This record gives sequence, C-alpha cells and structure tokens, in this order.
Amino acid sequence: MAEGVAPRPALRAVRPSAGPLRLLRRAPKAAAGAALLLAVLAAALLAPVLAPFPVTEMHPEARFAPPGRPYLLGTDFYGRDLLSRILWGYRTSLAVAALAVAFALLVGGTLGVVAGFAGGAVDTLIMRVMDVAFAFPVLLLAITIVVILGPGITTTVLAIGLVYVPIFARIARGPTLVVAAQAYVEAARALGQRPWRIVTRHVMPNAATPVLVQATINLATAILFESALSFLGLGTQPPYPSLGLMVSEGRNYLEVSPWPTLCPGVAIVVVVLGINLLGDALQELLDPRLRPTWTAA
Amino acid sequence: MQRYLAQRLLLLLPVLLVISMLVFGLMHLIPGDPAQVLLGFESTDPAQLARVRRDLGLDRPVPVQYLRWMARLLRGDLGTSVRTGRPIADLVGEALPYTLELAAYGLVLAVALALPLGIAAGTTRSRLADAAMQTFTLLGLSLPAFWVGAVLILTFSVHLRWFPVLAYPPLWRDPLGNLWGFFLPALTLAVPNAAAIARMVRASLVGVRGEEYVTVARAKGLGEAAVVRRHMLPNALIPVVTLVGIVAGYLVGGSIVVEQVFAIPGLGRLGLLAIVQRDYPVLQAVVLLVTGLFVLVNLAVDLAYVLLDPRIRYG
Repeated sequence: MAEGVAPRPALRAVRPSAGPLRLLRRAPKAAAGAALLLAVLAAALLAPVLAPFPVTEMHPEARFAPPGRPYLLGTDFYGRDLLSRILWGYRTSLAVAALAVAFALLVGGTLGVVAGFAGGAVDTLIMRVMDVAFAFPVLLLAITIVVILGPGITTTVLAIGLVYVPIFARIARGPTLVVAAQAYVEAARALGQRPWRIVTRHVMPNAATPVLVQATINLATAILFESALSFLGLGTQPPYPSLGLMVSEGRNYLEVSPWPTLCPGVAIVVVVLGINLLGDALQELLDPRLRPTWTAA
Repeated sequence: MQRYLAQRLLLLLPVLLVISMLVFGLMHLIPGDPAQVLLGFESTDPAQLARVRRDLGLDRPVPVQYLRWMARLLRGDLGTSVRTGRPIADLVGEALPYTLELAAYGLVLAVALALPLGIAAGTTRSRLADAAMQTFTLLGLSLPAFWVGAVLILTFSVHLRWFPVLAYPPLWRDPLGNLWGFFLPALTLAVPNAAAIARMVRASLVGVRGEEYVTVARAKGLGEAAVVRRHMLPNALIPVVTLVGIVAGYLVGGSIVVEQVFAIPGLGRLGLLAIVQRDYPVLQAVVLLVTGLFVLVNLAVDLAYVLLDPRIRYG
C-alpha cells in the first residue's frame, strides 16, 4: 500500500448493531441488494404458501387477463396465474443457479488449489485443459452439453456448472501459488504437516475471498444463463415453471398481451440486480478503484 | 513481433486440433447409433441403416473416421445436411454474414455507449456522472438479453412502429434499411457488454488518475481535456482493449439468443434448428465454425495489444 492512502470509507465502519437505517446510509448498495435478495429468497421458499393458485391450474375463461383481481399480475395463454408461476419459477431459477455455482466452486476451486499447490506437470496439465475449455464460447459449450446429455434440470445444473469450472480454477490457483511460496508454508511442510492440512489451514483461507466474490458474480450470471437456456428450449422443460421459459412462451403473444412477457422478465431483473448490488458492494470493499469517484479524496 | 506471431500461430494448432476432436466426438457422444439418429427414429429398415453406415464410413474404426472427416474438412467440405440434403457449406455461408454483421454492429454500439459514460464517470468526479454510470452498468448487467429484445420489439416495432418487424435486407442492396433493421438486435446484444466495458474504462481511468505523469501534465499547464486525451486515455485504454476483444469473441457466441428473439437467420438459429431437427452434421459445423471464430478473434486481440502498447514486445 502506498503511503497517504485515505482510510477506507463505507462498509468496514458499519457495526452490525448499527441498525438497518444506518447500514442503508453507509452502504446503500449492500443494503438494497440484501433486501432484494432476501425478498426473493423468502418468496421462493414460501411459494407453496404464497402462490394464490396452483402453478399449472388453467383458467380458460381468464386467458390473458391483465393484472388485477384475482390474478395480481395477470394470466398467460392458458389462463394460468402469472404471480404463482413466477413464485415457483424463482425456486427453479435459484436452485439451478445455486447448485451450478456450488458445483463449479467445488470442482474448479479444488482443481485450482491442487494445480497451484502441486505445481509442475500437474499444474500444467490442469491449466492447459482449462485453457481449452476457455477456447469455447460459454453459451455454445453449455448448449453442446445439453445436446449430449438431453435437456432437464440436472443437465442444466451440470452444463452451467461445467462451463464455470475453469473460471474458479483460475481464481483459486492465483492465491494458492502465492501462499504456497510463503515461508510459513515451507515451515509447515518442514514440520511434517500433511499437504491436505496445509491446504485447509493455510491455503483455503487465503483463496476464499476472491473465490467467494467470484461465486457471487457467477450466481447472478448463472440465473441469467438458466433463463437464457430455458428461453431457447434447452433448459428447464415444461410444465416446470421457469422464468426464461415463461418469457419464451409469452413472447409469441406480445401483441395480444404484454404481461406474460413483461412480468417474468422483471422478476429475473429483480433477483439478478439484488445479487449484483451485493457483489458490487463486496468488490468495492476489496478494490478501492471501484468505489464511487466522488468519495475518494 | 514476427517471432511472437509465429509462436501464437503454432500454439493455435493444438487448440484447434483439440476443438476438432471434441466437435467430432459430439456425434459419438450423442446417445444412440449415429446412423439411426441421422435417419430419424421412425426408420427401422436394417438395409437402409447399413447403407447409411457404409456411406458415412461409420463401419470403420473411430480414428479412421476422424481422419477422413478432418481430410474433408480441410478441403472445405463440411458434409451434407441430413434434413435438407443441401451442402452444409452453403447453409453456413448464408447464415454467417448475418451473425458477423450482428456481432460487429453490437460491438460498435457497445463501445459507442461505454466510452462516453466510462470517461465521464472516470475523469470528472461528478456525482451525477457516477450515478448515471452505476445505474446503467448495474441494470445492463442484470437484464436478460432475450427479454430486452422482446421489450424493444414490443415498444419500438409493435407500438411505436419506428422499426420494421424482423426485416433484414442485405447490407449491399439497402445499406440504410439494413442498419435500421439490425439496430434493435445489435442494441440488445450491446447493452450488457457496454456495461462491462464502461466499468473497465472507469476503473482504469481512476487507476491512472493518481499517476505522476498525470500530475506532471497538469503542472506544465495542460488543460484538463488535453490531460485526459493525451495522457490518461492512452494508458487507461490498454486493459479496455483486452476486454473489448473478449467481448468481441463473446458476441459471436452470444448472438444465438438475440438471433432467436429477432428471428435473424444467422449461425445461432441454424444451430438451434439443427438441434430441434437432429441434423447433427449441421450442428457440428456450426459449433466448429463459431468456436474457430472465437479463437481467431482472441488471437487478433492479443496481437492488437502488442501494436497498441509499445512496452509489450513479445518474443
């Protein structure tokens, strides 16, 4: 760190006891992001209770109903309640995205730590394989995986997860290389500590921060990814409710009623925006260059 | 530079080789007998199956099949579409210009949106510019492209009727009509990428703002505009070029969704149609071509990097 750097503003100074209002003032992005994400999580978890109608129940007499009562956000081509479908769609989107990122984090993170810690031929082998994976455009790679495995929820999780593996491998390898070269790791080795113990006690805590920030970013992109695959007909399959699939179905009737297209889209934006706000707050905390320009002295 | 170029081109070979093997393997990884897949599952005539197998060389060992496939590929023979019976090279040749134009147009719009925003937020310390920038980038990165496309069609084509609905006249015959027709799809493709680029421009400018050469430039009496243009931007834009390159590669692959929303008959739609119709040789060609383009764009970016930054002299 250069000398004369201004003390860090924003998040660090906020005590948990400071209350939500204070947090909102000191760290508006983190607070707004957390609020949006919590609301969506609650909606997804409580979908069975909150949804006013069964998710696949059709009301032929109320096709393309505009928002109002009893269909708060309107209905689609089959007269299905959009609000209920969005609440259940959130469950699919969030579950697929979270599982995909968890998969990528576990597999990619492990590969990155092993590559960085082992070095030599192991490192070269792992990272060259990752390089080749990077040579594919992500969406195309995911689509190819779906074609091979056949569409479905498990496939969607695997396709998105596999595409993200190289990202986490690279992110985890960097800090591992740095830590592996430290004197205290050498000391631990000299003392005869087992490699996996060195990894869990010294390497993982150091690699955790960048990996977790990356996981937050990828959670947002994974939700967009799932919705894009479902939109193309290669992700979640009907009759499972999925936000991307809803947009895809609604778009054919744009001129009849915009609501079946607009509502699920806004639902996607809300959750992705929430995660991105949180991710931004995290990154700003870690990288001063990203902070608002008018706060820096 | 020449040595670096030679080195990079040599490194390209194994990557392309692995990609070709993976794409070839695609046919064999798809569950089921390729001959049966090609004929469609309705056909159960064993004689017909045997003939297709012999025609395609499926009765030979897999390595032999691969080498024959490669040999044909190198002669520019991509095979024949199973569904339409047309040479795949023709199908791809018709679709490619749409995808390339969409990607190029999207890239131009992305940069045109990102630069002013990023520069304003990164150099002026104006609260307004920063707030505008934050809002734009956060939203840009949170909007699903297919939905943005649908909303744009609804607003500007269906309601306001400013743009034609799904009309893409060829560029050489009707240049203005073409650029007008492609505007909404290109914008859809550009928005998330503009957000990412604007962020990088801003972060990069903030990074050089405290450098000594900037202070020196100010101390010798240069106006603020000249400081930004002559001293800050040339240095700050180097990492931006890398990102623009990554974005360019992404646009080629990412146009699949936009092509689907706007019904543009490009490579992405060709590939999706091939999936639906189980026309796997066409899918193979599309995957190979898009991936090849992606790799070449990335190479071009690395080379542009050397030309832009005199400090980097590879090799």
